[in-house]
Amino acid sequence: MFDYLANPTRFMRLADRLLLPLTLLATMLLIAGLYYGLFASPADYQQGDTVRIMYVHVPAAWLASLGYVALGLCGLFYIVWRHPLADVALRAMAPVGAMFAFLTLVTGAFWGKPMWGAWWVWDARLTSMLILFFFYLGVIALANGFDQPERGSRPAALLALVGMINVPIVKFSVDWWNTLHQPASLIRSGGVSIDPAMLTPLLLMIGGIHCYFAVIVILRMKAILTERRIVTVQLRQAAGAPPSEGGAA
Amino acid sequence: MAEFMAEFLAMGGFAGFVWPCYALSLGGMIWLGITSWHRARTAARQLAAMTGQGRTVTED
Repeated sequence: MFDYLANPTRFMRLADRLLLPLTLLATMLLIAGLYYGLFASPADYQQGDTVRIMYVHVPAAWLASLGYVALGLCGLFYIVWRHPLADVALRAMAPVGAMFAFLTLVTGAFWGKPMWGAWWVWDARLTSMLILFFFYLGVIALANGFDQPERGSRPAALLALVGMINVPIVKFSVDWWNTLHQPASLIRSGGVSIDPAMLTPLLLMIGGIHCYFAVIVILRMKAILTERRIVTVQLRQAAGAPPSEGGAA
Repeated sequence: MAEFMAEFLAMGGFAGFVWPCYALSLGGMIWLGITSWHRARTAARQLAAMTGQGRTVTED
């Protein structure tokens, strides 16, 4: 499978096939999630309507964490196997994951103010999520910080791999330390602790945002691969060879 | 209907906290979607112009 996708032309063909169905699926799930989250689900008996922030905050947090796992795996594939698409995927994923880590922090602050009375506390969960956001920014900076983009690939992959150590800290911070942040409600030993009326929109939004992530990453990977082909064609033209689209990306 | 809308928009008195979260999240997602699609389309058009194959990302 990974060898099959190592060919950028094959990947582009597969990406073209996946793009439309994934876009439709993401749109449908997000519209359904927003409808259920804003209209069809009840207010919480303690938190009131602020609980509706959960339908954007929790999916963004899941994506920021799982996106970083994907980023770390890309780093591993690039460092160990020099997989040609791993670097492209890493560069495509990092800004998307960074945006969702940022949204997690901001929506968390908007939820924290009415519930805790503070926009920010140096709580284990909040601090580890902030560190995750900084890891994303570091990967972006390293990947794009060199005149020759390929020189940034290895340091960015290494940082992506090292940063994976923070992902379990984000997940288990609420169990390991006493925090203001509430404990896990979905993936926990005692089973799901959310009422089905709230669980439905939450799962719809989680599914929709992850499909959205896949769509954006595919689009960005297509853009990066095409930009690399453009450079190849420019080099060929400069060398006096006839232009051809079939160059290696 | 107007009463329902006013109540809905007020979000139980937490409108100033709930709506910015939705606006930022959806705004960010739409912005990222448009810029990513535009970047892919621009690159595909540039490559098509250079190789003379006349294909763009929207036609793939």
